[in-house]
Amino acid sequence: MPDSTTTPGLVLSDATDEELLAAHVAGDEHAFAELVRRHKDRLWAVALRTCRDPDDAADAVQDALISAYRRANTFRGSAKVTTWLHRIVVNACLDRLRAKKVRKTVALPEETADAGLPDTRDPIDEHTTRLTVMGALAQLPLDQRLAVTLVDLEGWSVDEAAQILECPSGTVKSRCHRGRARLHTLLRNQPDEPGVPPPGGDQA
Amino acid sequence: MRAIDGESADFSAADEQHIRELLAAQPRPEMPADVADRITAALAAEPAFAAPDAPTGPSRLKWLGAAVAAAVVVLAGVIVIPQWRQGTTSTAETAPSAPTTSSQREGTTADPAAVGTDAFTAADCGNRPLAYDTGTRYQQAALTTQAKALVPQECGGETTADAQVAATAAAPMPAEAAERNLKCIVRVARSPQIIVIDSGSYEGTPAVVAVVGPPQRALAVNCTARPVEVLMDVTLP
Repeated sequence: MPDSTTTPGLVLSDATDEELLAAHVAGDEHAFAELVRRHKDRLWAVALRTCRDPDDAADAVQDALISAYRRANTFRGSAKVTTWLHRIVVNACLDRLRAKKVRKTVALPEETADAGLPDTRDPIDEHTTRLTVMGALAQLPLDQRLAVTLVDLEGWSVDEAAQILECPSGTVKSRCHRGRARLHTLLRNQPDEPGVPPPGGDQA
Repeated sequence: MRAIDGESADFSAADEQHIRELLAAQPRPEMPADVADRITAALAAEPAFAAPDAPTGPSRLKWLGAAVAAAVVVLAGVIVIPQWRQGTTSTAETAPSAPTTSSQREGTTADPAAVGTDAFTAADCGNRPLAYDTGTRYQQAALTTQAKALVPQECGGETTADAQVAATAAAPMPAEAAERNLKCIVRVARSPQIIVIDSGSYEGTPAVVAVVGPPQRALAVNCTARPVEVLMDVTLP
């Protein structure tokens, strides 16, 4: 029997994202949780690749989802709900990265390396350090890393990524191109990385 | 010869397509279970959603309302406070908060006793932020002391109800500025709960000083900078 906190007639698993958000605004206490369940992995992936640190990514996603929960009534419907959620997450990540910079923490090498990713600044022998694709991605400037993450890793269209990043589509295209070019350069120096075929070359 | 900015001059369309395919083949990391649980718990702790103009239901930031309502509230505060100070109610029981658009406050001008219904309580800590515009010059060496002085006693601080009333009357933060500054603080604070904000300066830079938590932290934020700049972030004892 549905309780007073659910929307009569609304099957959460069948509802569209827009219906879920509307139900949440109307007071349904389960609708937002369903939205989170659907999109948490995508949001997490974007946050992790942007922040390059799992703790920061977790904080950013939490802050973003709480913010979205509280101001759900500000969603105007001009973009998809997922676009709106991703925008909030990206902004939370950017805020976190800026705050870290301002706090002027002195970062030790082990504090800046992403969890599970190789430290590419091996002072002993940089030539033998192998970059994974994700390690190379982490080396990109933030704007390129974000654009490549959204378009190439997460499959957003350029226009959708532009909505998330709140910049022109041309800017997203340009950042993607420069990011891919830089990745090509980074990965080209590591021809023997298992599972990473040489850029532009056929596998033997 | 390499192009500038680390890009290769021989980056062909085929190379670019190969990179795109490589990226598309990367597995998406799943959100760790502990992170998912933590977020679920944080959302479950939120009160049921209520739009700012909803007549019933919990409202965390009652003062995010229209400028007209805020003006009524400020006016109500000016009229109410002298009556309150005249001892019509116990200071321990009544502690009017900073300017809000609470419908309760609108009704207090004619009924001093009703002020008690709007008393700032421990449950308000983090749920109903106080906002001042004192112009205080916050200093790095004294920030923890200065910030603690802003926090109401109900939240473990040092501000008495009388002091809250005095600050509210003397230096209320206009509603539009309050909304703007709250949004600024929410974006940079790693805590969803804001106890109090005050507009002033930090080490000579215009800043909003906020106390957030728990655990309670004091932040000095230049909300007028682009991007917003966190000048200091310190845990309070």
